[in-house]
Amino acid sequence: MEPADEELMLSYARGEARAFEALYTRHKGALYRFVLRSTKTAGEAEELAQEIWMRVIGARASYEPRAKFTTWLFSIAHNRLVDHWRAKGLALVSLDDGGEDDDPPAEPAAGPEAEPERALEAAQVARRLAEAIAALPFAQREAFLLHREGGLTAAEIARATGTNEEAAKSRVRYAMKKLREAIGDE
Amino acid sequence: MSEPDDCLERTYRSLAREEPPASLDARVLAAARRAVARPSLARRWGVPVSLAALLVLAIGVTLEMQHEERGVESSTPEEPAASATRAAPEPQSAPLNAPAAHEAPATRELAKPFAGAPAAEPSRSNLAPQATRVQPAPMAPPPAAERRFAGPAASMAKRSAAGASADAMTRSPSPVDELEKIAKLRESGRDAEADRALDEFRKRFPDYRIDEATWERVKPR
Repeated sequence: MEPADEELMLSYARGEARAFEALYTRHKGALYRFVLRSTKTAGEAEELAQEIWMRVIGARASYEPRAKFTTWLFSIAHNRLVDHWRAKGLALVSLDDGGEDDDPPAEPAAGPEAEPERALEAAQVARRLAEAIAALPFAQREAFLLHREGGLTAAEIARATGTNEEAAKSRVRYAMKKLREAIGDE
Repeated sequence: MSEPDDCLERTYRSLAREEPPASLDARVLAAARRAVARPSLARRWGVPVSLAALLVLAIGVTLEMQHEERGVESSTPEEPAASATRAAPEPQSAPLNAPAAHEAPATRELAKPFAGAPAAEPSRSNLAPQATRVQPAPMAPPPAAERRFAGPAASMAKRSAAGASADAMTRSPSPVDELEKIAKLRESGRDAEADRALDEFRKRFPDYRIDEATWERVKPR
């Protein structure tokens, strides 16, 4: 059985570089995509992802597993992104717009796209989804990506972003509603 | 929060699974290794060896001074002045066979940390009695837990106190204290220092959330 993230981080804090390598390999993709889809340009994403990992390295001595490692990691990522947007003078608050209605029920899963037209259509849908994610308000996009890429629950998203659980749930719900509309999955 | 197999989920999974470039991996992993690299033998043992040498030296000097002092003590009965001094009654005198009573004030000062001798003792020879007066111990810093959980208001009050700067030197500043320092640097126009301090703050407290009001005071100009 592989060691838990928290154990790896504690081992790294004790000086085991290999533990960090395992941790990095495990989460580098999710973190990078989270940052990339929040910033849109690969150059910025690369720079920010590096800074976030450097902060993880720098904070190893004070690390305490009070929450899941990923919650801690993405809270550092959240802070770095907030600093990034603040430095650019961008507003962070345009959150939770939309009604209070529940998500529509999920569609039954479609069959495999065997035909070329279906494959083309799927690619177009994927592109629309990517555009819709980019168009989401910051907090909704962040909550959605933390859920999808970081695998965080509403409570963990709340902890990572400094909000309450209800607000985190609501952000994910509104984000998904908009994304479903964008891909015609209503 | 979502159905595992819904269309949104499937479409999201079909998006590109971008990975960080290999150059980024290399930079991060190299930094991680550097951060925990073992220092050289000289750097690892330099401090302990220095401390041990200092300790040996201090003990040696103390013992040497005690030895010399005993030599002086053994010749005192022949000196009339010293005999006269001893003849005078002195109720607070320590017993003559008490080891500390044979030490000069300077020797006692040196010996204190090692021998655990009492801080005050009456002077038998009336030489500079004020030298043996008990000095008040410096104020101990507050317990770590108290510092950590002190609220912002408590921190502000503490900072405004007269002894705040001395206190700050003896304890590790909290994030609130650090941000306050950065805000003061901004207010006084020392932006380069504030930028460096903010950078350092982020390294030390990477998951600390800076509220909007504080951010307005500390943000880079």
